[in-house]
Amino acid sequence: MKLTLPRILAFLLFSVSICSQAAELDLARYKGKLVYVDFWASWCGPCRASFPFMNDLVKEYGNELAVVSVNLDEERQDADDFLKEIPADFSVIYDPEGGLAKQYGVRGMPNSFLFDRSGKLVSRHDGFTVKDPQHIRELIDNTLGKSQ
Amino acid sequence: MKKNIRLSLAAASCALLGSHGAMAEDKHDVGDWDISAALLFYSEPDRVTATEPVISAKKQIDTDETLTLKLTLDTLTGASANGAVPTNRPQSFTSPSGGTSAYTAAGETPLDESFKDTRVAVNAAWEKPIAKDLTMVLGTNFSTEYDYTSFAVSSTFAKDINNSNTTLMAGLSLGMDMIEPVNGKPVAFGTLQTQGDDDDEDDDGNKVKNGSDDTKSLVDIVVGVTQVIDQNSLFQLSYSLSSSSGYLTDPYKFISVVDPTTGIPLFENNAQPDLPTVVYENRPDSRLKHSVFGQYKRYIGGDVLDTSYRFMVDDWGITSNTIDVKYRWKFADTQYLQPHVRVYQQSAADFYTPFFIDGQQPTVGDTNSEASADYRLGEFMAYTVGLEYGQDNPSNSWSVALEYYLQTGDEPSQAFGELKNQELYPDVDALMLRVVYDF
Amino acid sequence: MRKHMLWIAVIASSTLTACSSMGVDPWQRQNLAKPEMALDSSPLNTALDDHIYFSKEASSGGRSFGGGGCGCN
Repeated sequence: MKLTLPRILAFLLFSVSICSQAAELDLARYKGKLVYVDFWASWCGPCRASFPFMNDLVKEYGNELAVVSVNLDEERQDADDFLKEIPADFSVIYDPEGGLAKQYGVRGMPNSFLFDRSGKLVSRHDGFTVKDPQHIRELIDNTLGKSQ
Repeated sequence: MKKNIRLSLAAASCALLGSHGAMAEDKHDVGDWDISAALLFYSEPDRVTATEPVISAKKQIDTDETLTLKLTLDTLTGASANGAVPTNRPQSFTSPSGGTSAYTAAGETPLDESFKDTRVAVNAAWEKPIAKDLTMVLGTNFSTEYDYTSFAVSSTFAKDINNSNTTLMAGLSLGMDMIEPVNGKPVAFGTLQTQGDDDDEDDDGNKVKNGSDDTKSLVDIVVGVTQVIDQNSLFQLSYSLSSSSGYLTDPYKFISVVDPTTGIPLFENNAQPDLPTVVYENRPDSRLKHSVFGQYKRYIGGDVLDTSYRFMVDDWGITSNTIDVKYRWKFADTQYLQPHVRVYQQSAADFYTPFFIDGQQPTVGDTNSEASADYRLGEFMAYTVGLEYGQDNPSNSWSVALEYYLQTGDEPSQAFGELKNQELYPDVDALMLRVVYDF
Repeated sequence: MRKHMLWIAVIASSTLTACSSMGVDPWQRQNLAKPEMALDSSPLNTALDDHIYFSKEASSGGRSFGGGGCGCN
């Protein structure tokens, strides 16, 4: 009848580890740069709308900003088809089990996160509308220390 | 400037789900107009034929904001039951517009042959997020036909909670209708066709139509919840309250007055002996309806099961149950076949009466009494079976559906004499052909 | 026996929680996002049907607000 707390915790951790097959995002790799992390899926309309904008970010900010996207499609083929249609000029991490999305607490798509040079979270952004590019650029500029 | 950004998007944001069918994956750019057109042919053998073209344009203002405009044309021709009973001899009826007489053979259901109308309707809906996880839809409807004008405004709010797995919805709609019957609205239970050929006056020279127009106002409230069950299924449950008040009577419907012993309509007109005595109907001046609607949808490996149930009860004594089931069977990647079954059952309104026994009809102008012989207020079952074929293509999608509708009710138990030999509650059936094209 | 049952319950519930087969996460909505899974997946068809039934039956609406009145009922 007596269940120890550590046993339960150990089991929960085990369950988590078998379910989420380790998509990894190591922010330390980008130390010294700003990191823009974006969660997306092929079937999400606003995600589709955000891709050209993220390609622009890569072009505009070059070495100062790393754009990293996390694809959440369960079927890799869906993501590949999407990327064939709308190529990405930034890296794509595949997280079919949603482990990273869980870790980041993704609550809609697209969902983007901006980290400063030291890897500290500056802001998160839900969804993507026509007025978002300007807003996100301002955030990036502020974080870079550029004056408006 | 980022003028090259090609914003290709969905009907609404991913985070949203609910009454708006959000998260849809169709690919329309911001700023684009998405045009759809539909055409409906409706045909009842020997009765009404309707042709209804619709054009709808939806502007994607933003990834989460749309404006939808819709224009509907509704052309009706043919005849519909005028409420009078059939009998063993020919009957004639003066049409509502006066003058011409409609001839009904012995044993035939009397019809209003002058049923001809063109209705134009315009709808607009603006959907916009007004706060985080809160969407507002503002809508307006306007429609006009030669004797009827309708106007309504509505607003609906949808709030996503529980990680967008639950959507709460509440809405209010206010409407005002203007009814302008030909020659004005009739006097309740005004007696027709009893004397000479003057249809506007009864035996004592009283007007049976008072020449005036009237209005009715409508208030609708709806509250509901949509819940995602799992990756493949969701359900919706809603309650609506609908209140209408004002002129709810059908100005063109009659009630036969029959002889207490023979069950044959009275023929009291000496000048025109084939004109039976009929009186105008009169309905209550208010109606309160409660509806509960539930819908369950499930995605089954490319196919979709869509089921719904509606329960309605009102203060006219009508109760109805509607079950609707569709199964969208997908094949060959972009094509589908969708069988459809609908079953509808309603009880009669308290004041429904298929005829009056002479002496029991209310006095002319007695607005406190209510009666109607409109078969649509009687007790009946209705069945729809249909099949839709469609193609989902990236640039254009289309579908065509053929449906058969049958309305059937029991003969009234109060029939006697000649009425027992007649079919007082004939079946009504119709064929519908519907074509939809998404540009 | 009770201990077994409890273990089974713990395994079941923790697996359920961890694998999120209860409750849907935003990235698990691929099927729900399909246009044919919208509650009203063909609004033009729905409006045409509702108008027919409105003119033939004593009930109407229930799903959402109707497309306006008409002299047909």
